[in-house]
Amino acid sequence: MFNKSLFIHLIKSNTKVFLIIAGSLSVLIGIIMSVFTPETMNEIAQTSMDAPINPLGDISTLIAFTANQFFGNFALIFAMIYSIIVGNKLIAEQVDKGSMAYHLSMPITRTEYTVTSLIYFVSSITTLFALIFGVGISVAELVQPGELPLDTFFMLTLGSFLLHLAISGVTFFASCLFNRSSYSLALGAGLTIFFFAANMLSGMSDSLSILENVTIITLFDSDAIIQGGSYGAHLFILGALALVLYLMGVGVFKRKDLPL
Amino acid sequence: MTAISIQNLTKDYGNHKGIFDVSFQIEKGEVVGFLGPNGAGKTTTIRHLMGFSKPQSGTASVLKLNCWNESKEIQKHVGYLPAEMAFPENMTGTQLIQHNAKMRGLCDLKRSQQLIDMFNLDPSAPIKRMSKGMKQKVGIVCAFMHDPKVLILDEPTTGLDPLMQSVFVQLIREEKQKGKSILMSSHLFEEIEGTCDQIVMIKQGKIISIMNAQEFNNADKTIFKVTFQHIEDFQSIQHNNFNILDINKEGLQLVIEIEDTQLNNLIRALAAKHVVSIREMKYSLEDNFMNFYRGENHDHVQ
Repeated sequence: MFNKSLFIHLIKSNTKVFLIIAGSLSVLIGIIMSVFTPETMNEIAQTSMDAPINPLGDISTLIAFTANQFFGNFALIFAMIYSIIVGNKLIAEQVDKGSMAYHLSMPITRTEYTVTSLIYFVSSITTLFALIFGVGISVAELVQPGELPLDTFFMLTLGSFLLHLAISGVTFFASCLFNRSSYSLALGAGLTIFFFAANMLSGMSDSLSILENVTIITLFDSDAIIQGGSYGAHLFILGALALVLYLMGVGVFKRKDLPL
Repeated sequence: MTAISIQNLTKDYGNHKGIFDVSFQIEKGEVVGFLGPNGAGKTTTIRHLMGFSKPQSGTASVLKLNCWNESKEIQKHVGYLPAEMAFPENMTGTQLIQHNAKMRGLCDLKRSQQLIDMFNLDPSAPIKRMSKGMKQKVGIVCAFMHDPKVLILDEPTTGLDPLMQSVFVQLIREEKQKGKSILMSSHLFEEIEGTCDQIVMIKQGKIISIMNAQEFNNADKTIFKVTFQHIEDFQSIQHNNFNILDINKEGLQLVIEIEDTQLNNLIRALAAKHVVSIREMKYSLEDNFMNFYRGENHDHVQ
């Protein structure tokens, strides 16, 4: 089911995009953890007291700010971009360009190819979030020891990670389903962007809050994580969704005709 | 032993596209040319052999293994050269060849080095920057480097210069001597004519003829085009018992087909005449092909 040489090949051919995304997110979490000390946040709160809406959202605590801005924005967007690009590139782009013929003319089954790609995909996203977690706690402990609640930060990272596994499931399944990059992107990226837009709009006004129910992003409920509410079931759904989509993708790719 | 066997293979893409009831076999050590106009179904047939497409009906097997279910086992013994080379991006030729070796569990790169030398290839450049011919050479190295028992080559000489084409023909002959079975699609008549034991012709998805080497090489007959100075000579030679295929009165030209054993008779008959020119007409597959390709166009018009 797993092919080591192919795995190494996939690491090499996706290094660039991984480094860009992982680098940006590490720098961002580092900045957040080092700049937003209690003093700075007090100042910001003071100066923006009169503003009708605080553009930075809830900044009462470091962890709330991290949840809102980092996991709710930066990590969300950057990791989505990663999933869209890599998801499409792993399968559909190879078929579309014809290089899948090269891969499949090796002594390897289609399932070995897709499962190895999937293992790469999941482990690269795992590495991404492990890096975010590592950089986050190291910088916070260096600059402002004791300000970041580690267990909450861990749960936020884990929740965001599961959300992105589900998103990677969407793009991977789309990539396995279609033989053309354009269709794979239309479904994979289209659905992902739709989730993102629905999530944003749902927060804007009460009349749009119904959109909460059509996006998987709200299953990662950072408020519940911070305030100690119940969130386990939602995170489990995200993980299960990812698994189902992966399996469907592998299954579809095994059976279809390839125009190579 | 049968290397490749295709039985009643059908894949209907609708709109008269696809392949219909295709059957042929390639025995071990045989080189088979696979011919047909563009869009006739050559690549579709090869797709089934590689396990990329599932047959609608019928079966395709390589080395007695089913192409759809057992493609992994088959690929160990098959060298494949697709019609349009597309390699994974951002690799140099050397990296690609090394990756190939790793995927196949090949430790010995001697054969690939031989092939690189044979085709005078410098694989160190990034593949993206390579010309079509260079990419083709990389593809050839990848297809032959693991010394496969069966070779499936889809238009293998596209992009190669004439010198390299003849190197390639040489390579095919060597592989044939080693007992390899080869299926090769091509448009180059000479390449097919010189190397193949059998020719399978496909048109509009159907096999229209399977010929043996003897049939198409027409080995014991030769055709000459003779031009005369004088009309008397031109006419008198027509009374001799030669098989005359074509008469051109204005040009005083005759096209004569002759058994090789009769060659001296012709020379003697011509010795007394005033001959302007005598040329051997390459009786080749080309004539066959041209007729057969034109037929295709004709059908299109209707």
